Amino acid sequence: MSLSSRLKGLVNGNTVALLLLIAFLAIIPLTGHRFYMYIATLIMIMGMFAMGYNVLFGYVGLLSFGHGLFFGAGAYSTALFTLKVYSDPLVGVLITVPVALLTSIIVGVLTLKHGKVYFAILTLALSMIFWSALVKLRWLTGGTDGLVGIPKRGVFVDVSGPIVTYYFILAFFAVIMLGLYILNKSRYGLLLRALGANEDRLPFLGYSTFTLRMVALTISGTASALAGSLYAVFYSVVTPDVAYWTFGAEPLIMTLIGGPSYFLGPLIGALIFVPLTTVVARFAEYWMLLLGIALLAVILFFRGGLLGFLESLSRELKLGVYRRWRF
Amino acid sequence: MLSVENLNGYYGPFQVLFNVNFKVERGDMIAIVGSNGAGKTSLLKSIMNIELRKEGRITFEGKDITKLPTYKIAKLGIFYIPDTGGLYHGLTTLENMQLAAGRRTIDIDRLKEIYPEIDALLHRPADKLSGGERKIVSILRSILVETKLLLLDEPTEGVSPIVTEEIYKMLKKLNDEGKTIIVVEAGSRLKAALKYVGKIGVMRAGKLEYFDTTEKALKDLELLKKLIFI
Amino acid sequence: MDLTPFLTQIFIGLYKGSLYWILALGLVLIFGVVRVINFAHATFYVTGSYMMYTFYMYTGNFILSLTMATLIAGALGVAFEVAVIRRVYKLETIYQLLATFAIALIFNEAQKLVWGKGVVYIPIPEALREGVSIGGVTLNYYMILIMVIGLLLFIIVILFMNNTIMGLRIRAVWRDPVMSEALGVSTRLIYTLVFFVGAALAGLGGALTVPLISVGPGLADYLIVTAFIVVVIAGLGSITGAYIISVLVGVLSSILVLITPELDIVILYMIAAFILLLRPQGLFGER
Repeated sequence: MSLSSRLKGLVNGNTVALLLLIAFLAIIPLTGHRFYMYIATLIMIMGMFAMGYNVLFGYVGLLSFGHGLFFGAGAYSTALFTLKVYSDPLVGVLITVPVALLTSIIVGVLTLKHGKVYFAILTLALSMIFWSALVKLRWLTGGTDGLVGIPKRGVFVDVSGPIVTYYFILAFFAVIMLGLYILNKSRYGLLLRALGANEDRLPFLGYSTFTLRMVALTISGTASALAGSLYAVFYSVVTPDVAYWTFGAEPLIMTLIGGPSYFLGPLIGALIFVPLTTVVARFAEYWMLLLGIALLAVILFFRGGLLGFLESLSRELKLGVYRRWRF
Repeated sequence: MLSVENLNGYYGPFQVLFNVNFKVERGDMIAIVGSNGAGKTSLLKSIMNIELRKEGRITFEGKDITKLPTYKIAKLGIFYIPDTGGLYHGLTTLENMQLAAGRRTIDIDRLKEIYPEIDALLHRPADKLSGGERKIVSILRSILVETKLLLLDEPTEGVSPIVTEEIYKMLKKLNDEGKTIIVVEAGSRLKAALKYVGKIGVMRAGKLEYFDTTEKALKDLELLKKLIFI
Repeated sequence: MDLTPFLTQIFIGLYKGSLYWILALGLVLIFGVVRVINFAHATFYVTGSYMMYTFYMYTGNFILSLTMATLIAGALGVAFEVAVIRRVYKLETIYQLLATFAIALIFNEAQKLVWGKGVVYIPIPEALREGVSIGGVTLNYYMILIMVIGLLLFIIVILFMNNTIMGLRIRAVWRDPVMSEALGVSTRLIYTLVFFVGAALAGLGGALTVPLISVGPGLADYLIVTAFIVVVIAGLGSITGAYIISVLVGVLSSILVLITPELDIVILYMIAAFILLLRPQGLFGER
């Protein structure tokens, strides 16, 4: 393939949208508006979480109800490492990578061999085990109070100012999005999606379903753990709530809102979900109820998510634009 | 009794039946033959409203059954036997019979009229029966209810020539008692079927290419063979 | 060594196990027959609890409240099947799971809205407060009643499934829904019926729980996970297995509370994970 056609392949709706979004996020601190920065930070963190989640859900077709486990593992490993071992946010975040790899492999061995239904049940069960361990092992995790005072000032980096924290998180966000984008375009991304579309064919082509699923789980788990880790740095506090199943369901909800068959679907979902819930939660205590109803409506009537809806709309109007947004 | 008009059938995006038309009279015994993938099974399934999406019109005794749920079609007196026999593994022959009979009591003597050796099979689990026995039991189930029309998908597939004869004799007996029967068969069974049935249909690539009496079909034998084996 | 605490925990485990069983039974039936993993199942259980509490507060009549709680949970199950589950039968498994999950979320929040975030409980009926002493441990009649109900349900379900036409039809739909339709069995009717029975059983279990354990938000989450563990270890679809494993899990978890109060649940789950590694189809499952 020639270089120019290779470049052409990279420059499509997704690249442009992703770059525009990152540029947009980069100028938000210039407004000096604290609340916008807060929302934007949460969008980045939850967007990473959801994009990581979708490697499993949208690509491979595996439904995990326990992604809070990965997010929580990331958040707690950063918190514990910076509080008890070495006080530096950057090292604290990076340390989650090996932790996430190990966690993914353990979870994968336990859950991936038994089919999709078992996977959903077992991931939920494992995340509940993890959550109850966080609650019960008080001497280590602080129980329901969690861990407080996660340092922002460290040996290598000092992210104690809100703007520095913001760009620190944005840097990780950009790197992870780029990584996922490359995965999406790579042969591996294609294989994973092929696995989701037609799992019985791949063994004939010489690929083990188990190995591919494990790869997807590891990528997904690592992205989720990094999101959790940044969450810990951002708030300086972690509580077991981040490992609870309702929290673990949030990336799923965002993915469904945006559209699971689109590369940027989960991120679009986060763009809608985060501001909405942050604002709605302020005046409606029971916003989770509305969320459940919205989720049910999406499942019953708009399974393509927002992007799927736009695509069918553009097809109706014969615009043919949104097709390019698919994986 | 049964009439199929302008029937098109689809599995997802794939069309498997193309404008099929035919009429079945009361008391007919019909064989529809064709090679693999010709659409024979799909035709039976679309009559029963199983799995396929379809267009067209199917009526049974003057009643439109095109959109009826499968169990209601069954209750009208159409008995469908899939190529597997449709027996439940893990359940005994008797339980399988009872399932077909519902709340009616099973008349063992009546079963013996058609198949004298039934006693030996009653208490064995269906998965422990031989291929031939399975086919026979699945047909016997149809006489426990008021079957008017019997639909059989390859009732002699994978059984010996002797058992094939036995099964066709059994079907003939049921036909003589007044049941209307449609059998679909692989092309290779054309000869065995011709001896017993009154009408022959040939399907190819989702179309019903030929449908006429056996007498006529015997004259067109070369044509039939061409249709089936090309 | 004083064994009384152990005996106490075993008794507690037996009645808890019976409650797990009542919950797991509906889950097994719904999965077996309808092929849907029902994440919302424990919410029917908790609905039973809250209904029991509400009716008891108004009427003070234990039996009436128990009946109403059971029936309302069952009716809710039917509504759920008709309004939601029917629309997703033909979709991928993932969307069925998601639909039940969304319902669980909605119920959880709605219950917080109606009954608050605190816990509710009612007293044990006066006649059942007395008990018998076994090995120095007093076991009240209410706990015995729960164990008896659990055992009775097991016997009834097994007899029903093996000796009635309806039971036969349910077993048939369990194995091959399409063929059952061809034999004139309305699978739709059976699906709705199974949802009614499953949800009503869950409601009964939930109603029976209120006098023993304070019921509040979060209980459903804990219960559904425990019920899944039971069903998965037993092997999806095994009724007898579900009974045995429920009781074992009840007893084991109670004893673990005594040995390692910090890690009782964690250890239990680890045992479950280990069993699953060795026997993915579960202890009683066929493959």
